[in-house]
Amino acid sequence: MDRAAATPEAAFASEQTRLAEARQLPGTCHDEFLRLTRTLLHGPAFQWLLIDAPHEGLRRQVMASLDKVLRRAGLSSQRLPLSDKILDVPMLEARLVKNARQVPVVHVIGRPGWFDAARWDAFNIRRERLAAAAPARLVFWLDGEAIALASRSAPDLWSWRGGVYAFLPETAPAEHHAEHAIPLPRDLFPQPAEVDSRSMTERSRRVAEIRTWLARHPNSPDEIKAGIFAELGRLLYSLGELDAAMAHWRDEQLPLVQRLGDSRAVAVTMGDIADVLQDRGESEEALRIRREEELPVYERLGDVRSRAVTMGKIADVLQQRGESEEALRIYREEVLPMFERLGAVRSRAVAMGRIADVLQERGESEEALRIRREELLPEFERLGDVESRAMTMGKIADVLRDRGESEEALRIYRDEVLPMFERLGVVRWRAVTMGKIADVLRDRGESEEALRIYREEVLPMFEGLGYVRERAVAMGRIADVLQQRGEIEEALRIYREEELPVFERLGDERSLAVVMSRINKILQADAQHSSPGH
Amino acid sequence: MTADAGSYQPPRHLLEVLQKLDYEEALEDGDPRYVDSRVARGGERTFIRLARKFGWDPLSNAFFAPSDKHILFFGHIGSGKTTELRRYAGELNASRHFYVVEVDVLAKLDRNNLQYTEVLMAMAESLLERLHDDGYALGEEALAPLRHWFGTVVQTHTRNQELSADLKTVAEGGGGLPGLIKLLAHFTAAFKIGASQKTEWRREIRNDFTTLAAAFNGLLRQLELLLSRDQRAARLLFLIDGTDKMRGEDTHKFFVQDAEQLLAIQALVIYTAPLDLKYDGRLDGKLDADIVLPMIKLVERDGRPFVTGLDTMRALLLRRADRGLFASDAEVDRLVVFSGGHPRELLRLLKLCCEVADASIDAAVVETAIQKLASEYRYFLRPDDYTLLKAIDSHPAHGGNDQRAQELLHRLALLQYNEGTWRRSHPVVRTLEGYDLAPSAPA
Repeated sequence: MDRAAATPEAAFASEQTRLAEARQLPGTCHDEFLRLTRTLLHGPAFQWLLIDAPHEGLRRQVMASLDKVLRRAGLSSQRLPLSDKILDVPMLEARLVKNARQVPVVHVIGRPGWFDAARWDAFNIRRERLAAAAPARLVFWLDGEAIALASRSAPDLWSWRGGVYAFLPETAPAEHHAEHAIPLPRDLFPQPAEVDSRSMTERSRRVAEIRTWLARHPNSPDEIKAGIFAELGRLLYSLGELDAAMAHWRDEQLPLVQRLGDSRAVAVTMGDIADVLQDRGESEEALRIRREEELPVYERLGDVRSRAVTMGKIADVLQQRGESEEALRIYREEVLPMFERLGAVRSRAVAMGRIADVLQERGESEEALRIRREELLPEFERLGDVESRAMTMGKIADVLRDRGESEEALRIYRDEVLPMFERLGVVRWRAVTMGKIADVLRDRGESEEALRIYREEVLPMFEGLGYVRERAVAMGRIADVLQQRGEIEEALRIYREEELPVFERLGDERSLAVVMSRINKILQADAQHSSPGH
Repeated sequence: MTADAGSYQPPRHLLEVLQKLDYEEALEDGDPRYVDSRVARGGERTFIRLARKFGWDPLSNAFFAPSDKHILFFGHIGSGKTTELRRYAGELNASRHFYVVEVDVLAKLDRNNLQYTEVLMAMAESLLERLHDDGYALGEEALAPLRHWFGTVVQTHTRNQELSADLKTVAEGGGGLPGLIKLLAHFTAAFKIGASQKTEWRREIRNDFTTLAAAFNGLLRQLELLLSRDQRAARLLFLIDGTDKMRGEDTHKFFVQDAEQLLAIQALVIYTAPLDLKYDGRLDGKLDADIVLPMIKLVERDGRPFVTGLDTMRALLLRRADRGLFASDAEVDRLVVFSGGHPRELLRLLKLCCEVADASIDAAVVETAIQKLASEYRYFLRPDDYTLLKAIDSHPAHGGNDQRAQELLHRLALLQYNEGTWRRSHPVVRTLEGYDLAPSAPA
């Protein structure tokens, strides 16, 4: 298999890069880019691929994105422009052979007119020799005319193609082709689904579709844009693009809903912004927004459902800070009854999940386990909410691990939870699950592998996404392993410099207490070791 | 219908399927991915007809070989000619009437500017290699004519020092069979890399071809005697693969202008040949040009489904990708139908599915694959091509052999079935707007 897929972790990261780069391109290029990169990364070592890319600017953009994906997968590439210096096909052959011996991907950048019928014929008769001597992916960047000429002048060669990929710029909406290429506006306004089970690729494709539509309809009415903006923001957030989501909500969506004078939409958008702030550890500001800018609006409008959701998020912050009693009160007295009254089954199940979290934290793990197994799992299965189901399974595995059933916990993390988060592209929960796998390995004494996962799989993901609290937790895990291995100085430094300040800033009293106790333990052991008699 | 796949497990992951798809790969005899397609091609008698032309009736095992026979074996690009021929070679060999020598022209020679002279050298080299590998040691009597030819005709003209040394050794009667193989290998290698002496040697061979042909024919007869005495086979049979992939002008020169030279070799020979050569009217009847490897037929001429063909293509697809990768049988069937019965086109559709699918190949993925393959045909099809294709679809026997029809055949926009008795446009082409908009043929 390709280096891109050497490990599941590397494959996932490679897939993330591929989708992220595809989303940067015009919508018409999104799917072609995914096709091309998949065959380059996972197809045979030798391939002859034809690219129809007549516009230089777009070609450069696609190539730049392609290079990032190839680099991420450990594949280097070289460019071979068909300039005046390449006099004929034998010279091209020699250059291709030379380049292919150095790198696995060679981009041949065509120039209009360089390939005429005679040159395609000359290239055709060299194809087997080329395949033998230049075992690389040969990517020919041409235009439609050159490709048509190849198919007409050298049918044998044409039959040999690995594929044709077209990167064409947006066309005017009036053109027939464009109307077919991009969903019609009415498709852009699905009722926002409470459960989004679309795969990572489907959501990435949707982002590209929306961006394309918006680029083509810059002057469309704000009322139309509002629905599209809402979907785009949630998609970016779910794909782990926190910066892009924040910029979208703050700079695009908020002004738009303010222009519309839609106070509820303004409150919802502020809530979205608060989600990102909370993820980044700015919980004070997140709490302020929820209390001062969301709740009063929902209360004024009598939007009891949104009020209950917001109260639940406030309780999340409180629980994170260690105020679990107050959090439990809110979930039980303010959130749960409201969802029950509204018949909002999924929201009720999510709230029950939060209650189970608090119970588990307080040591009531049997009751937490019962809630998850008997109430939540069947509900999420019935709703088809695969993400919530995976999260619940992960929590069940946490309890099993605490009970010492580490084998079963590991199986659940690896076989039931991780694959689902990977399919959905939920980067944050995938990284959390990887961390839990590493926790089990550490418990079993496989500290080397645990350390590798924390350092190479978990930490970079949280750093890249800007999840401050999760990053601090991962650093703490690394310090735990280092301490076990006797690397006391470094462990102490991490507890003091990487964890403590973050939890202080977050107001996370419980985590602060845990770190402080670890530091004290080290210091006491050190003191005993240094005291007379030792 | 299918070869025993044994414990073979087709790839279960889309990326594994993608990695293993190589359109150019002809399957070796015994490859678990091979599916017997003879009945499905609607030309189940193709092998029997071929064998009978060489004097063997596989049904009754009656055998009486002609003194020589040169057969062209036609077929669409990527239709499985090499794969089928390897199977034929296996059966011909197993009959113990024939000792089959496979000559892969593309591996041994440079197909740029390929001529019969170097093909003859490659035939000799492959033959001697095969005998040597099978443990036959040839006596001086068998090798003498060829050695003599090399010694007297070529030795005096070569400037290659290493070759001169080899020639000297061979001419002096040393080296035996390995020595002669080494010498021939020098020749074919020099022809392959385009050595400067290529033209000179060609001239030498041409000027004294009668002597060389006689020497080679003499060797063949000696060997056939040896093989007969050994009860191994009565006749040598050459299978020349790759001659369907020569450049246009070389194809014409090889099969038309130089046909007499080919026929001067008194042997049983099969050459692969491009389908358009059969219909361009330039073959003058010297070489046997009857045998066409038919496409796998998915429907009868009257439009009824041809179950055997559909089953065969289904099996072929499921040897390349595990059934679990498809959402249902409907997706497998739709890919088969849109392949038109052309194995490479089926693999191409499968590749497209692997490029676009998330986790499994569902209906939407299949539709996208069909659309993508169709769009590749759009690059070369012109409005009048659509008109012609539509006319042929209305009257399958129509179409003639004019230049346009041949070009469409060569580029697979037009596919032919039942050894050319009827034709139909590629199913993906029929999804194109150009086809829809083309005027219908008058009834």
